[in-house]
Amino acid sequence: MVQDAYSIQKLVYLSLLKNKKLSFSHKTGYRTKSINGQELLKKINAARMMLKRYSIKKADKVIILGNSSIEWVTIYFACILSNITAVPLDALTDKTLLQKICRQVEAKAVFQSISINLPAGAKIKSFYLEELDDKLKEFKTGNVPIDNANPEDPLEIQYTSGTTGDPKGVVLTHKNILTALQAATDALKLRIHLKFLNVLPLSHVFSQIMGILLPVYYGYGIYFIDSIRPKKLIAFIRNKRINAAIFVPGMLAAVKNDLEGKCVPCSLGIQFRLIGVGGASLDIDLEKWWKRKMIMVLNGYGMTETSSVISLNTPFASKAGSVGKIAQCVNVKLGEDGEILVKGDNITSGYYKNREKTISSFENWWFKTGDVGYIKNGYLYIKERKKDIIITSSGLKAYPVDIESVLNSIKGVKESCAIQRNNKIHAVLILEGKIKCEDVIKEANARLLSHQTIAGCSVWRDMQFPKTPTGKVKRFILQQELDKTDRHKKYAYENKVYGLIHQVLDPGKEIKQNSKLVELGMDSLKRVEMISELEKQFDVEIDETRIDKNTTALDIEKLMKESRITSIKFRAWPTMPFVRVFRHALQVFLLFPLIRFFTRTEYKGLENLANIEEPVIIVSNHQSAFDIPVITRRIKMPFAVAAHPEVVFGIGVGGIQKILRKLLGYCSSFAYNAYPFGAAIGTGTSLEFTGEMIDRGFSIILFPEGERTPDGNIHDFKSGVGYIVAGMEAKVIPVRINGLFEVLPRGSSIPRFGKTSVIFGKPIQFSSKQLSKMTYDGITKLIEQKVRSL
Amino acid sequence: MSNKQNTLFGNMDIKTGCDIVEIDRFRKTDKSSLLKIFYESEIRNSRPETLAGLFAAKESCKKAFNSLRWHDIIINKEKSGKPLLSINKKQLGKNAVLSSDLSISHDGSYAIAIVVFVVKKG
Repeated sequence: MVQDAYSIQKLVYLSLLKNKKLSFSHKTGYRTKSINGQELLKKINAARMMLKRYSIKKADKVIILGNSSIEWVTIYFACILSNITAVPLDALTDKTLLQKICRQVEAKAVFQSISINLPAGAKIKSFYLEELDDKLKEFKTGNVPIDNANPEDPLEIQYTSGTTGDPKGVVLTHKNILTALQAATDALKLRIHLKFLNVLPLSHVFSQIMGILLPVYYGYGIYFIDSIRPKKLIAFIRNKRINAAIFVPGMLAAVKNDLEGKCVPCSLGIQFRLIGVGGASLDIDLEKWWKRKMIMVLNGYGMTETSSVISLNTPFASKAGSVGKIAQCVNVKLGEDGEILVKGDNITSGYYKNREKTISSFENWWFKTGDVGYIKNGYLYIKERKKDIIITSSGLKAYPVDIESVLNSIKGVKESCAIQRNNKIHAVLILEGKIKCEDVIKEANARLLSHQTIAGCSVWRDMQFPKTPTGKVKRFILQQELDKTDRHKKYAYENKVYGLIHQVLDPGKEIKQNSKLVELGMDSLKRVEMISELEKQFDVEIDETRIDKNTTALDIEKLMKESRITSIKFRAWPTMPFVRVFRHALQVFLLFPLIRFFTRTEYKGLENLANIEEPVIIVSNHQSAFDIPVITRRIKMPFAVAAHPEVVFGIGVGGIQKILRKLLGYCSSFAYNAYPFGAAIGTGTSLEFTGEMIDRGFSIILFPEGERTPDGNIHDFKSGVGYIVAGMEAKVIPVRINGLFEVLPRGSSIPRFGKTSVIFGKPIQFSSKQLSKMTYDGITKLIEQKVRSL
Repeated sequence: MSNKQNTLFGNMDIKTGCDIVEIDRFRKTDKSSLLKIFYESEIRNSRPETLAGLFAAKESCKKAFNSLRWHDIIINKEKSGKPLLSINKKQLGKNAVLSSDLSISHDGSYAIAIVVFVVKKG
């Protein structure tokens, strides 16, 4: 049990040391880095030595500023074990706020992401999280004893807001976090090994407790991913066989929209069964949709001030629409106007250096949540955040959530938001189809109560409202935008492509079929932005050179139809163990003897393969269909072959050819572990597949010429190899094959007898410094030269 | 006169390009669209000013040679801070670049870049 460990420090330390299956994985770019608990502990110890070296000690403060990563966790745990107060901040923290926070906490150091620029004049020691690994190598990794902390010592300071006025730093002590974690573990009791995806920013206490501390305690595999695009998330969940995840409702809705009309178990995999939700209120229909798909959605209620725990739904006791049973450690009572008041060991002792705010947030030692709710059968239900209550000019209260639910139920309304304007209710809408905003209001008012009457409305210019990282609509931004100008008026496009073009180009007039994009304000930068937006929304890859100054909106629409589809799933079965056994048998008993029969192969440079442990990229010239078995005969590692999507897999071809080629695709996947790689499925998808293969421990065999040589000579390499090398951080082994062209030339089906030779070159390792000076074509050319010179 | 010019320059040619861009436009760009223009190594630890400068530099190269694409151009910094330009020679066709020079600057809300190529016509 959690309480056996007495302190959060011991709990972290023992869990890392003893949970054998615990691992952390992080996907950046195309590769996923992994590390297990003990390795992490070594790093943490090194990090603690480093903190000591820079004379950062007990009760000092350290800012952690960046996106979720293993390095982030390292520093966070190092701070906990050394009893240093962590100040985790969101990577998107506003600059002025950052400055204020720096001044207020007087931090000794900041660990930041390389892409963030600290405000000028901040005199503070700064380390890059991305370079932490290299930095830690300087420090020895011996065991460092825990610097014991009192339960009342602050573990972290969480900044919740404060762009206007003083920043609000919530102080959370060791006791607060331990109590909250205990409540969470008591409720969940999932002692089986799970693969757990955490996509929430780690700077939130909910994400820390549910997303790291709880999984660390249970010894799960923890996964982070840089992208929160639904398509990437879905592919990641499926490829890495994720079992459970924590989301915010906004993400849950986005993923649902992407899955709608598709087979959910095929897209996510049957192993994905549990989603924890927190951060904002969860729509009951959304919850039910997921439950219908046999995926459990558990939401909870809490806030930073309560260490994220007030109430929780559990796998064994959950009720749709409610935020769950009140946690044992928390006392809840309702105030006069239904406000939820809480008391307990997990509640913060106050705001950092902000006495006024602390006093005003507590009422007789009860913390005021600011939310209105009610309790039924031990389950807590939330009605509305108090702050968002609209008080109309007549003094009556109107809840935006009530108004929005009516608006959302009207056909053609995609999203809506009710805000207060001039003491009247104003609706901001995102519309689909050709419905007019006035008509929506008329219909809504007929169904609303008299004090809820909507006075005015406007159409929001984007496809989505500006939202906080936890999915709440930023109402104040809507208010500001409306106050500023009415520039963005009523453009509702039936055509999604036009809507998107409008969103990017923001031309101030309506887009018509024959309007030229240049006249709408497209320049080279906006063109790139537009393409990247279109690609994200429609799963295509667009050739930039196809869009020039004469392109019209209609042309774009046509282009979208022609463009290549990139939504192809990664095929996992060729990597499965039993397939690998069959493949090995096939090679040893059929392919290798066949080759030995026709040709005697001389191997050179085999010593270059000797000390290779990690997957490599083998780049070779392509002489005949025998190339792959000839190469693989002498390499001992598992391999995958990058194959032409059109020729081998029949992607993007039609008719009878498609069936034949698909069959060929299955055969080559079985025999050679072939996967599609090439322009037909888009550069991004090709590289994703390559990354996935390397992550699974397969070396890549690549023939950059793209096809078998027609005349025996080496032809120009295609630049795909440059993209792979730049994106994969793996060694490259150049290989040259001679003589196989005479044995089995292109176009002939009967092999002849002959002599062949295969030469393995020295592994090429590109350093990041080297790569930073080479274009993709430059890398390709260099490798081509290496192969030619063998 | 025309003869003299021929001896001076032979079959050489000078190509220039320049571009100016508003810095504010790089404050909100997301990474996926930036990677369509830049290499990862170029945009690491970059402020909007730097990004705007790099963008202007790439755009000016594209103005000098129409056939260049974004990823055919890569810009690094020398130790002194002077930008170092390398371009993919494959895309230049029969022309060969003998020498090139690039200069980037920014002030207020704009960044500007100018590039000069000395080209041997093929």
